[in-house]
Amino acid sequence: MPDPADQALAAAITTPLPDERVAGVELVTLAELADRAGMPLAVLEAIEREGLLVPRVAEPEPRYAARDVEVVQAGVDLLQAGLPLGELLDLARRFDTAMGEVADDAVELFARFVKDPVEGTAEDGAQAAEALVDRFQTMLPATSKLVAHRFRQLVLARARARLED
Amino acid sequence: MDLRVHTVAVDSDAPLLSHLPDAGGVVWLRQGEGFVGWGEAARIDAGTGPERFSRAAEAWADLLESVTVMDDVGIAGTGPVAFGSFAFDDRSHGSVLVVPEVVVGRREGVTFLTRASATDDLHDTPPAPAIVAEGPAPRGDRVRYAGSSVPDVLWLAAVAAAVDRLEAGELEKVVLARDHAVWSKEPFDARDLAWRLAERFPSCFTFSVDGLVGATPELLIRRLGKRFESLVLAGSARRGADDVEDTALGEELLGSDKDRREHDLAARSVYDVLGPLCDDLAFPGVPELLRLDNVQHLASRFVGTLHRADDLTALDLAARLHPTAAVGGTPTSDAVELIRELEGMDRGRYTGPVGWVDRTGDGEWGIALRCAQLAGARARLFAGAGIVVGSLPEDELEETRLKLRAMQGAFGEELS
Repeated sequence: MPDPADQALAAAITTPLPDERVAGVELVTLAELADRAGMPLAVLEAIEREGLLVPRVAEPEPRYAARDVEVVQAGVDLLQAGLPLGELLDLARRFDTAMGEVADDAVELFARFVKDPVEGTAEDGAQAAEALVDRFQTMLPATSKLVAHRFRQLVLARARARLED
Repeated sequence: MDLRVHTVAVDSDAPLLSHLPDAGGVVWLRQGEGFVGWGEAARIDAGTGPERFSRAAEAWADLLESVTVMDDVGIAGTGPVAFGSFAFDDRSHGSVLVVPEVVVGRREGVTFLTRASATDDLHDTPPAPAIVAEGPAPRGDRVRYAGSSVPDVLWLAAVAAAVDRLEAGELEKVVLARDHAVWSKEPFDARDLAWRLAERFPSCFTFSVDGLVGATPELLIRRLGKRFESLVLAGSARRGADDVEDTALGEELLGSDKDRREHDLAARSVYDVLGPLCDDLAFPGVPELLRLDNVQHLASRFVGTLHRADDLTALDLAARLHPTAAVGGTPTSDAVELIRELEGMDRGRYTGPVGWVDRTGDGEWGIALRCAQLAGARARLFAGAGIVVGSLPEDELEETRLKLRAMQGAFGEELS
């Protein structure tokens, strides 16, 4: 029988944060997304195939969150600044390889130091489920904030070192 | 002014490039053999239009009428030799044949020197060539990016547009190329590029003609007497990090319907031209794998004997073959039209024939792939990819990115 705490966590991972729940999110087709970002559809199709853009709803037709336009727009900003798309995609692939390892470790830390203790101390499955989802929804944005902050620090430090060369 | 041309054997086993004193000279090298040449005893500007090849061939034939030759060696490539490079598109400029004043050549282990001048008295033996360099000069300044004619976002969209047209059945294959401009604080030296290319791609033809420098694995035509050979490359994959991955990528390439279709169209386009000129030309059917430093290709080799050699020089054969489906597409005229519509740049002599022809019509012509057009401290690098139904634009973009990196390496650029 599936563990209720695991089920709740699985549901939370599918739609990580309350404001990302499908009900409250505007959904658009890839063509609409391309239109809003001012990008050729072919480029978004390629980015989607590369796994860098994930539909929020797959059936019957893939739909994307309109707020993904911000993410796409960030990519457009880099392209307009002069970065070639081919180099950017290559960097994205290498980023995925490098960060995938860190992400695995982060998930492992959650399992060992949050999930196991919560399940070991909760009075019942329902309480454990509630506590886990609550911690997950706190930790995901916190982790994202830390990673973004640290990456920014790293980029600036490396840029400084390059200029001093 | 009539030319006097004198070829003598010389005693040198130094790399041919070490004899080249002039960055503007010509180079045609493979596995240590070939030619370097410098100075210009004659220059034939071939102009534009489909008749650029025949115009050049006629001017070369006319020039030979008035040449006095003293050839002490008498093998292919001795006596007067013209080095040429032709534009891909009928509308593009730059097609040229150059007859250097001095050529140092090596063929089947024999090294020779040919001097062409209007004043040579032919009895005066030319001096042995000096050694002027032992390798590429280290770069004083790094290589810097200077943008592309078409941003690669738009190039990717152009590939997608081409795939739509292919799926609509308008044509079967089209090759789309893009460029990558670089600059530096000091001029680029074609010889340094040639040194690095010859070292990195020993099985390719390293060439430099009138500022177009590159290394091509693609032998459009070699004609020696009645015998000819042509090597068609189309369909490619990257090299693996180790033997296991490398073999797997090769097997995948050989088994890929998309790549086989692309390859067969290219092979067929060459067979259709050469087949009628001889009795014995076999269609290989199943391609082989040709592995280079950075990429592996599907390859088909055609070897045949011409009915008669005296009316078709190597240059004439190259002209008939150009553009093959490996650089244009299928059908040719539709593909060239689509390239004009979608590519958004002038290819110049990139993907055009490059090579040499001697006074007997023997010669070797490759297709100018993996090359750069030099202009002082600026250069344009090129790469292209064959598009067929099922091609994914991002994969084609990646393929051209990897091909461009091979040339960037030849410029001495350090790549992460």
